Amino acid sequence: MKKTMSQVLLYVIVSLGAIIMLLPFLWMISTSLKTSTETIKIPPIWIPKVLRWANYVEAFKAAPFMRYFVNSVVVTLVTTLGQIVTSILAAFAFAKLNFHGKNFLFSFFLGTMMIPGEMLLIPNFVTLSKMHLINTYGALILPYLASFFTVFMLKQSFQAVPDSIYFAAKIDGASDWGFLWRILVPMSKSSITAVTVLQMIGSWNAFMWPLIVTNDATARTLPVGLQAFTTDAGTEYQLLMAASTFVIIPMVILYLFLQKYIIAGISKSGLKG
Amino acid sequence: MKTNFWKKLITVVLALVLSVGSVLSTSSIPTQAAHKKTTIVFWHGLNGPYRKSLDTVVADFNKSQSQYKVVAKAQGNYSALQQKIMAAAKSQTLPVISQATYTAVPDYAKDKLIAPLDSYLGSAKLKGIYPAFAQSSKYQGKYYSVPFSKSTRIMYYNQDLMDKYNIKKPASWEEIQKDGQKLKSKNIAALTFDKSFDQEWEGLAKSAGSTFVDSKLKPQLTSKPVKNSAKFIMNMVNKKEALTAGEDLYGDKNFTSGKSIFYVGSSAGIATMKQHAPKSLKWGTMPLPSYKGKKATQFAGNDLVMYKSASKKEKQGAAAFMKYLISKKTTIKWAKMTGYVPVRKSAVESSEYQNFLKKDPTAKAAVDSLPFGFQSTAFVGFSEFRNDLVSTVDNMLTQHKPVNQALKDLQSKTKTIINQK
Amino acid sequence: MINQKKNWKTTLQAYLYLLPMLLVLLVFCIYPIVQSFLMSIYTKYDFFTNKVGAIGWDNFRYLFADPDFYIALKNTLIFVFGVVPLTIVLSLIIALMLNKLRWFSSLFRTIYFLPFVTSTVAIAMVWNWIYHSNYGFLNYLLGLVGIQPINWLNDPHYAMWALIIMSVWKGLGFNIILFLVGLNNIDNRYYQAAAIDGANSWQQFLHITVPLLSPTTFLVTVNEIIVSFKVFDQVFALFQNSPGPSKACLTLVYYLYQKFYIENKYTIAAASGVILFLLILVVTLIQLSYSRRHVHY
Repeated sequence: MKKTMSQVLLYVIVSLGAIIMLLPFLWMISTSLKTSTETIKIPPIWIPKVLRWANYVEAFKAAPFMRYFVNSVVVTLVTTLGQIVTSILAAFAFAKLNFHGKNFLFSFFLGTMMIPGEMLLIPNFVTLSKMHLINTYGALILPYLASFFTVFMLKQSFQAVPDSIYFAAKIDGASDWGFLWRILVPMSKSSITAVTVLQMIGSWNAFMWPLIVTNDATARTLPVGLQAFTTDAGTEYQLLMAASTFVIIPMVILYLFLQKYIIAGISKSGLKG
Repeated sequence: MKTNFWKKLITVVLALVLSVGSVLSTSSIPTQAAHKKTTIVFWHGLNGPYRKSLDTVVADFNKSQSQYKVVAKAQGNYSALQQKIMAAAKSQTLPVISQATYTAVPDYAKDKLIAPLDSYLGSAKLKGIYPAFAQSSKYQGKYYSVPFSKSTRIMYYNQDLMDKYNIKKPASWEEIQKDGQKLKSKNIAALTFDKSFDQEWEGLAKSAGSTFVDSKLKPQLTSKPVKNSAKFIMNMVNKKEALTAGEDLYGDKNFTSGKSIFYVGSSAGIATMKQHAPKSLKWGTMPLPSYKGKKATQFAGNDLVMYKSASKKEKQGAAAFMKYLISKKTTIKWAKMTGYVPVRKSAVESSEYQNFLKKDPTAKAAVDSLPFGFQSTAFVGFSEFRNDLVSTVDNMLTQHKPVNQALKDLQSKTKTIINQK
Repeated sequence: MINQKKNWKTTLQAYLYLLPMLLVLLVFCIYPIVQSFLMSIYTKYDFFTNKVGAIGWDNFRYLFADPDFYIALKNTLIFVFGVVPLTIVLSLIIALMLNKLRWFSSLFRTIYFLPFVTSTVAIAMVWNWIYHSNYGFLNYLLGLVGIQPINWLNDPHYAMWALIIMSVWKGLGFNIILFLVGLNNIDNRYYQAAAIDGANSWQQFLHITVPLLSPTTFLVTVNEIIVSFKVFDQVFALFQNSPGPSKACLTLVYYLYQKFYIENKYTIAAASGVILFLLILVVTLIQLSYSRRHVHY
């Protein structure tokens, strides 16, 4: 009896919390379907009389959002893929190989994670313009092809794979390279998925860097387009919310699709401490 | 479990790649055609309808040209544009021309980024341009910019509410204050400002006798005219007779939702107002009223500057484009499309523009303000000064910092800024 | 380790594996860091031509004489001390509750994680609208329980709260998941043994969960502190390109941004970045030395 009571109480509290977490999303979607006059009604209306899908059309037409969307997709995919590959290689070296300068390198790169990214914008901009890559996908992708955070997470999960497996593979005639890709990587796939999703989220939502290195719609990504749109839409909150919705939704869908790998993956990667 | 995972991953990737492919093939952005024409890259901060109007003007110019081709690139908004220009200057990848406020000219000139236009504009230079515009284009005796997207501060009025509460179009700021007192019991404010009222404040100060920084680069922030006009505005705000826009940034929301009868804003906001104000609302525009018997309104908006790094051919092309923009014909067309003011007197007086004003009376307020318009004194370090100015207004509004103290602090900061350069 | 001894051959092999990462990080991370650190001691410097006239400590002297820098320092510390404990306590409590659920636990996990996947620029716009003084949903809710409308974004007393609430909301999910993982890694037999010894659930929590969860708690704390010290995007987006009313949310990185991009004081911006880096480094080292003594691995 006491147990049931506490379970009921638990569900009440957890549900309340869940409602708080969801409210901003619901409010965003609700506002995005209102008319300008409905947005400023007090008390607020949750479901407008007529769902104004036209807001989405208007917001969508105000800027080449489709193009921005494509850019975001391409940049996110390539960045993530590249970063995962470089991180797998580096994590393998840190986890399974012994070499001069290992501890120094590891702590050194850990230290670089404490530097605010805003400080690196201009030097990186200069580097990329010397490479003639400003306003191309290259500028958006290159600096993010490696991340020590990802290396750090993967290293922990690679270490969890016992060395005995390596020796067994060696006896079967596998090289280090073959061991890494045919055994270690498949065995760590949930961690790799988890860092992949985290990286995709970060890449999709990146704002300052894309703002600085893109000059027109050729390479501009969704968050940058959204920021420009705010100036345009001014105080028309229904349009702003419609635009926010279509920036946010793709990542939500991706997450819903892959969520069960995230928790499984994080549990195997470095973040278990 | 295993196969399921890879299957899912592959479907996601495939779906994404397919969507990319299909979209890329249908909506590829036209790349700049090489041809033999010299390309003039032009960065601007315009958006929405303004951006479309600019594209029309640029297309017209390109059609008239056999030598040059202007490529206009929108950079989002003004602050993004400024950031991009700095980054591009550092990496020597500046465009040929860009929008810039006239207040940025001293900084750009000091950093040797922009080129004087005198030798490119020909002997006519800026003849026929409104004197206030032409004057602000000059820095240390040389022309560094041409006026382009220029606006003035004007007043919007809500005819319905004026009728309801029996209020007339105010002839002076003092009258607005009285209206405010009268309306207080009705829970309506007389006036809404944008988030910051610095431009109106300098207008009042100018009417009363002094700009923030005088022409000899002496800060005048603790002078009587500046101090009293700040107190005048803060008085209205503190008594809730006037509102500021706060998180809305622009006061049009307060205005269209009937929280105030008047709204002081940029004449460039007319297009947005037309687009978003409720159709049932009867509103109009008028020039800012007088203060202490005098009128003054601050010009705002952007000029065009030309970068030093461009080649000679590009510079000639840029100058041709600039001359095209400030020509009578183009400035009329530009003004009609956007609501920015024509930069020439002859354009304003032309029958074409006068006919337009008859059809669209809301545009009249801005051109009627031209005779008493003024510009702030620009100097090296202006963007830093402007940052301090806005935060001074912010301190008075949100922290209730006493006006005297706020201005004393701003005065000493401004002195430091002007002296350090 | 696969190879026990390190020699030039294993070192060469390892560096070949590291090469792609090293190349990218050298060009896009180490090189700009070195540049910025150097820039912080340039005193007569032409940013555009890269000509250095003199070096010295003037930029740091400027910082320590600038009242805005102290405001930024103070605000950053308030933010860190506001967000970090709140996030950790809340995410631990929620993780403990989710761990006890019999049904729908994955549904709830999904919901609590959702804010983490959103774009800061987009979601800050949504919060800006929620906080709106006249039409905001939050003030409406507060009105229902009789609280006067709060001017969240324009009142310096509340602006920091607005920022903290949004940041905690957005960051909770990630930490909840980390705690859930940590909880799952605790062997159930400890609890069974404790139950036999007659320990109640509070005692079990105190003597089993807390110590065995300490590596996770440590990691979450270190990460949260570093991220919170670097807060910028949220401020920039929530207050629409301003540091909040009367600089109430001027943080160190915002200060850096403002000096660099608005006031064109490049060397001062670089110096403030160095200070921020040192600050984070010191805090992290203190945490590390503390963890050596108190965290149970």
